[in-house]
Amino acid sequence: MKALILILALSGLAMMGIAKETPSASSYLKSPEKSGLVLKSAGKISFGPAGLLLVSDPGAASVVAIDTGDVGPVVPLSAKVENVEQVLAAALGTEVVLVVDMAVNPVSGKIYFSANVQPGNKPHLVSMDSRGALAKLEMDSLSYVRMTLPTGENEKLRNVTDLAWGKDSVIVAGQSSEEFANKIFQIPAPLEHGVNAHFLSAETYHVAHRKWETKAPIQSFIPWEEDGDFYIVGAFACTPIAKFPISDLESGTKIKGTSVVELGSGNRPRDMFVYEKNGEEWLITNTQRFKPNLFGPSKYWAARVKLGYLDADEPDETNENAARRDAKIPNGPDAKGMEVVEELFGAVIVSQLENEKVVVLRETDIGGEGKVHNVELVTLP
Amino acid sequence: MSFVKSCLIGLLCLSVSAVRSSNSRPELRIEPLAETLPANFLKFYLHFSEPMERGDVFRYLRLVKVKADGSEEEVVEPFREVELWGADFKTLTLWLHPGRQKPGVNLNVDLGPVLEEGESYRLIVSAEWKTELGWPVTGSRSKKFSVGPVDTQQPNPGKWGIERLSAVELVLMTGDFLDPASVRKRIEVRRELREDPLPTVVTVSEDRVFLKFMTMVPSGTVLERWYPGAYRISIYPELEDLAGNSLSRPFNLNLEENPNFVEKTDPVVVSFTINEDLDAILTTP
Repeated sequence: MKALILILALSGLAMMGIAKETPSASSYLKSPEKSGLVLKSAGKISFGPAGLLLVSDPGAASVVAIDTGDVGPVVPLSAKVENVEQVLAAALGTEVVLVVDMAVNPVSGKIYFSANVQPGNKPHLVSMDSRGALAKLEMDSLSYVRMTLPTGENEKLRNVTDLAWGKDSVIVAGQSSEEFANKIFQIPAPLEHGVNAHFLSAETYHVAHRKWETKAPIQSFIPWEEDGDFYIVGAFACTPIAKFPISDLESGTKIKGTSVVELGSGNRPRDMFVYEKNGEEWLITNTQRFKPNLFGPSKYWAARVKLGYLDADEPDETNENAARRDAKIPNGPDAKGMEVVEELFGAVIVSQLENEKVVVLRETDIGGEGKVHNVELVTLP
Repeated sequence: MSFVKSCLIGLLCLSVSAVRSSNSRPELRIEPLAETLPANFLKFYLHFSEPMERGDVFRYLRLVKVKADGSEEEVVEPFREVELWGADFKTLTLWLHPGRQKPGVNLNVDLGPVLEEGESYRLIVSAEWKTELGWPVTGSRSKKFSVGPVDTQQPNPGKWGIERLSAVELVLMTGDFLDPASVRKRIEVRRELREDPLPTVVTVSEDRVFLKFMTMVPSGTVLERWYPGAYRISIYPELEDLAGNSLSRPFNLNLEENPNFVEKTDPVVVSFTINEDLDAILTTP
């Protein structure tokens, strides 16, 4: 197997005690504002190094980087928190809260939520400690920078489908509201106010069955390095997993993804990450299924694939020849390293704390309205 | 009842009630306006008069097939369930799932396309979907349409025509059902030798694009006459039709038939004059 290195190895560093030597979150920010943060909306969230919280604000077509000051040490969630919406509502002094996204800070174990109070869609950021106690982030006292996503030709991309920290930069996948355009931005550190992102790609393309080339929005992704080249590994709405080379590209370059794994149709990928267990490395993605699930009552489930599948480069192992998961074989040798992860049934959002430890927002009223969720720490198999 | 429940602050309720008493109920307008859509149609635009409740909107949206006897049958999983809002959270772009509408992609192969040629459908927006402040949307909340053939042709401005409908309104006959949002972004009209685009109100109905020239005044906008003179229309390569085919490229590129396809990247410019008789005449295709 080729050397595969996950760019975002924060949790591993923390476990080895290297986190103490990591620069502070503020060192990644240039001339941050010290007060006055107002979110117009709450979108996807993710963590960078040293408690640096990345928050997409679709209403303002921007991404905000916040120094939370939350630098550990790591204390994982000690017990399941039931009906998290109700708990959040109580903490925010309201009745109805909708969780937009969740991310665990890998250097502290605290869990962060972007959430809307309804009616009114008022955005909030809330943290949860190891005992399940909640604290609303007082935005007015946070140190932050707001990075405006570039305006393309006559349009703004405000819908962030995913964002992550990779190679000392913020990587953002954004989709146009009105056209089938998907752009990937890279915002290099130090992060500063204004428009300083450049396009990693103007558009991404997906080749299906060799015959058709189509644009396709990336639903979720991870930064990735392979043999010294920088990639993102992304999942599309129609569930092939593809690699996009983004090293040394001119801003605005059109890139094509190479499909390396097909998880099966009728799924919408939600989160993606890698972990190692018993000497085997896995790429895992949790998805939302359109059709009835073969293995359980929930439409939310997850699959893991052996990381070696990402090595595929040759025509006889990519695109229409990419490895396909056999939907009728959940596990075992015949699954050929593409397995259903039973521990993640019902997982609506999954955020990685460290290696095989993940925080899961899990639906509890399966088949119901999908408005009640638990939050728990899960150890992957 | 639901409004009373959702109105948590008394003062806010009083304020909103006052607004409501002035007869400004939340409303919905659905684009495209055409009553027949191509079988590979991609997206609706739901224009609300107020910001809407967000975060879980697909529970309020349905697509049903309307049978000959008038009965309705649910279309399963028709939408791409990603909320794509405009900046003011009043406009939602609602995609039929591109993975089902694109040939050769796995969902298209496994489930088939969302729409069938020759059939009729109705998009339904639930009355349960409230505004940010908890108000129900009044008026029509559905759109019935029939389905025509698949459209694989790119828009071709070289075949467009133009007419002056009135002193304030021109119409472009495009021969193609264009995407209304794309038309508003990707078509600009200028006076000859001038750089600034003229402010226009653009509406689209079937294969016609209506252009009204307007100017801003302190109280809002006023319509202006299309005066005699030379004009040019810039049509940008991203302009799409209702099936996602743009000037730049077809939505689905057949690599067997077009192995060396090169996308168009420059705008197409169409010139026209309005003569002394106030007729609009194309001067360059």
